[in-house]
Amino acid sequence: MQKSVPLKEVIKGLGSLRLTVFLLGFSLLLVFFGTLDQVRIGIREAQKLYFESLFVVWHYPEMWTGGQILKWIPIPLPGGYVIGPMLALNLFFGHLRYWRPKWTIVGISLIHVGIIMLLVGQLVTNILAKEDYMWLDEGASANFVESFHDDELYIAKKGEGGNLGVYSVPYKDLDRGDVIDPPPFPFEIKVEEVFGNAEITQGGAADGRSTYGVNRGIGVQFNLGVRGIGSFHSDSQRDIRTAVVEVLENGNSLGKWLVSNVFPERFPEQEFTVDGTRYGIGLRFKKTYLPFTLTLLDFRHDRYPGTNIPSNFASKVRLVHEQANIDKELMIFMNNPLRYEGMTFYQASFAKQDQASMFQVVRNPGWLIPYIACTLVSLGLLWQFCVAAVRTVGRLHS
Amino acid sequence: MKWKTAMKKWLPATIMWLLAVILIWPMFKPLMRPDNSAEAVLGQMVVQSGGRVKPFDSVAREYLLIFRGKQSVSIKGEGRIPAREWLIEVIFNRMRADEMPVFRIDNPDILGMFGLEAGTKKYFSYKDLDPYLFKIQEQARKIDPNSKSRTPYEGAINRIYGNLVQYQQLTQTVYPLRMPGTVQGFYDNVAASIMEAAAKMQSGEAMTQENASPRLQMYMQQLREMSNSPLFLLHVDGDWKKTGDYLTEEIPAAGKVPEPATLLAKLAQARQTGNETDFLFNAQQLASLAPTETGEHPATEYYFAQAQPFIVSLSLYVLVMLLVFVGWLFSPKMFLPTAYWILLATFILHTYGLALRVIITGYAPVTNLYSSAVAVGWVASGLSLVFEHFQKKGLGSLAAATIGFLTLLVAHHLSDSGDTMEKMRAVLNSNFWLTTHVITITMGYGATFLAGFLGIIYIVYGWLKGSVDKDTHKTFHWILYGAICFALLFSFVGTVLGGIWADQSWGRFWGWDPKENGALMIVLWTAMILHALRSGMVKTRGLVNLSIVGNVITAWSWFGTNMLGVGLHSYGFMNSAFFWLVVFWLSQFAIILLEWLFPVKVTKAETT
Repeated sequence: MQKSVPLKEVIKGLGSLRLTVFLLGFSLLLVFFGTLDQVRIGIREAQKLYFESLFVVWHYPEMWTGGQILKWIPIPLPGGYVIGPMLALNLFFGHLRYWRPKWTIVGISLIHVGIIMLLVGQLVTNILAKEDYMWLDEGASANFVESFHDDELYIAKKGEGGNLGVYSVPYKDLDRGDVIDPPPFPFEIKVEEVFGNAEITQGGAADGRSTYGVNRGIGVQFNLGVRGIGSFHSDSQRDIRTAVVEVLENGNSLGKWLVSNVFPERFPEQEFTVDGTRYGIGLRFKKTYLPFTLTLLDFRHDRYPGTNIPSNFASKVRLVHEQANIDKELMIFMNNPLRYEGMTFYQASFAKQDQASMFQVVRNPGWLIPYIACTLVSLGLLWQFCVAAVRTVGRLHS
Repeated sequence: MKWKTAMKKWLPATIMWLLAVILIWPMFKPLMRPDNSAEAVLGQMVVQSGGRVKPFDSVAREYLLIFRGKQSVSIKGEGRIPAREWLIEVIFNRMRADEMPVFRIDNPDILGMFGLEAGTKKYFSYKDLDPYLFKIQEQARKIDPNSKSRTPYEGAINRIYGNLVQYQQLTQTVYPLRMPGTVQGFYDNVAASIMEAAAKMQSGEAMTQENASPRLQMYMQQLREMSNSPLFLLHVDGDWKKTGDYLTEEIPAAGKVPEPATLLAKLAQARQTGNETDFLFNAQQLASLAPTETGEHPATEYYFAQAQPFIVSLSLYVLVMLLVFVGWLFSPKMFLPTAYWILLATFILHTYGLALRVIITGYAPVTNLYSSAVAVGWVASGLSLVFEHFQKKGLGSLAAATIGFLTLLVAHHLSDSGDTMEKMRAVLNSNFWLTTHVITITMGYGATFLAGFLGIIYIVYGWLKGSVDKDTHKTFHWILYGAICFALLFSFVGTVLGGIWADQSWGRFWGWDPKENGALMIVLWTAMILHALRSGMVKTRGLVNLSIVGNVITAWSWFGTNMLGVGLHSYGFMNSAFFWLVVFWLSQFAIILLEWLFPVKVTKAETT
């Protein structure tokens, strides 16, 4: 008897409506300040700092009226990873405490089950969803997608018809001083320097820049100097991730290369030879290979007559998946993505005088969760609303 | 005696309805009194501009709103000149148009550039600005086009520069700048030059840019500049043509100035020499060239622009507000029922306006910020009518009238950014999502505003009457509760539908975009209010104040988030709008503070 009292108290406290009110209030503040801070650090950074964190402090921006004085006042807030689970717990225990088998409150249960699903769905998306893109020129094909944010160091074994094998290491796993031993290849890679964002200019070591001992490849050819800089904190401009790597064969240096994610679209691939075999090396936007190939047959960019206002973007593509014996033509256009193999291809951009099309490619195993959750909540809300409406009208009549 | 009671009973209502009818009259005027002037003939003529087919009159209103912020020009001594007449002068009689004060400039620094002090003059003609054109251009080019934050001066100089460029393009719809002689003379010279070159070509001489005569080169340049006009005036062989392009294509083929172009020249001649008979005759000729079947509804649009149903509704809402206040102060029985019926008529008119918009645009009722304002007012007004129906104390009428008035006022001020019926960009070009997501979100906004304004009305009513009786107090509680429930339902469903739309078009259900966050804030707030009520943390008084804070949050979600310049829903920072947003926020907090200082008393008995 005595044992159960504290447990009851805990359930009562965790399930209390007062706690709900406070949690909802804090969510509101968190969303508000998180939105404000997007102006300063961009949507992605703000999302990490506010909604995917335990704790955050907001400061009044210095640029605003009175910023010189007000910027010293901090506003501490619990982050999304505190409020989310707390809300879920609160909901769970709230139901233990308040749930009654009554028709008039069936909707309440539906709403709350839906909300828990939404929270879980958001968590699943945060953890598992991957966003990539695919650029295609008209007539061209691709069997890989590239990442918007992630980069990788790669080594490719070269053969007659192209790459015979590729080994890659995610950029985020690179640390200064690491020695990587790619199992398929007879050499090691030593990571000499890593820059989260860099300024790379011609003219070598000057104005705070250094060549970092680079003695092979593009770095030498163009006498490039590198200086590490802070992140752009931008949704539109990608950080210039850069590294200096040394290739070691049995402990002997074959040279030091400068690699950067801005090189692949500007320069030819940097190469070196070991045992008569050519290898390419570089830092690139992380590539993920697909089991199928997409070919862009035609891109259409319709405008309203006499203006440049777009009325429609559409890509006609051919999808070839040999293992599955699939070969078909499809249309991808605004509000009509292609869902295939757990991936969704969205019409996202275009270039080269409407001759090239970009798809945003999303892999989100949890994409269906919000749809189900929202249906539940909407039904529940509708039910409760009808109950409340009937009651209110009754009250107003009496 | 009987006659006297009848008088007493019916006279006030009759007077009030008479007032209402006077206000509604503009809706019928265009139908009852057809206008056969040349201006009206051209005004109704179908043209193409901004990617859609519309009446000439709409183009005129659109540009005059952009330049001047009004749909007419007032000139000292000449009175009010309607937009269509102004555009006719711009196109056919530039000399006169150049003298009309159509450019509004408020920025003190720009006025200083002209050697003027702020407040002395607001509207400038092209002729007034002519000496400063170079300076304005120089200043405007200095502004970084990618810069996110512009000073008010930079914004203003950019705006006036853009307006001047657009004006110049419009004036070249029919004939170029720097043209000696008549329009017909110019067309004839162009034709002669082109035919001369064609003859040379036939005699074996190769035609290139280099060996074309300098005169021909100049003419071609002028025709190209004419084709920068945003207006397609001619409809020939099923195609919309700009005058410059039409002459360039048609003269070599026809060997002379084509007939429709001659009509334009005659119109210019008649306008410039003041020959009204000729002008009317040729206007009718030109209008007869316009297509009759366009797949769109220019005639309805023309009527819509003449009738201005939202402006009429706005004035009627003001009347209802006055009637409710007068009723509360003097005789509820005499005024409130009439206020209710006039409100119902206003609501029908408001609905009619929205329906006309849907017919004209072919889109769902909400397509931009302007139409969202119109729709938010409509939702709140409709809901209040339902409340007023159950509880006839004028509270619902006042809420409907206040929100209707304020939102239509906001809409009116949003309309001077140009065409409010513009075509939708690709990603938004989906009537399914515009209907489901945008309308439910708008209904959520409408309901939160309704709750907020009912909260204010509760407080004001309590102060005016000295106290609120228990019954009214209870009624308020349940109405507010209902409105908040409605708001939560529609805000949530709308937000979710937005998520699904985003998932369909951008590949993510939720992206923490400012507008999404704004919608989420409304959901969180209304959910919080309901939980606070359920837990007993707040009672009616708390509900009233929390609902007023709901106004602040909804205004943030609706307008504030667009001003951040972040994300996919951003429409650019609006300086003057931001000012009014802050004013609105402060006013809401001021009311809450005042209520805290002077709480509304609740009494048991009915007080009169």
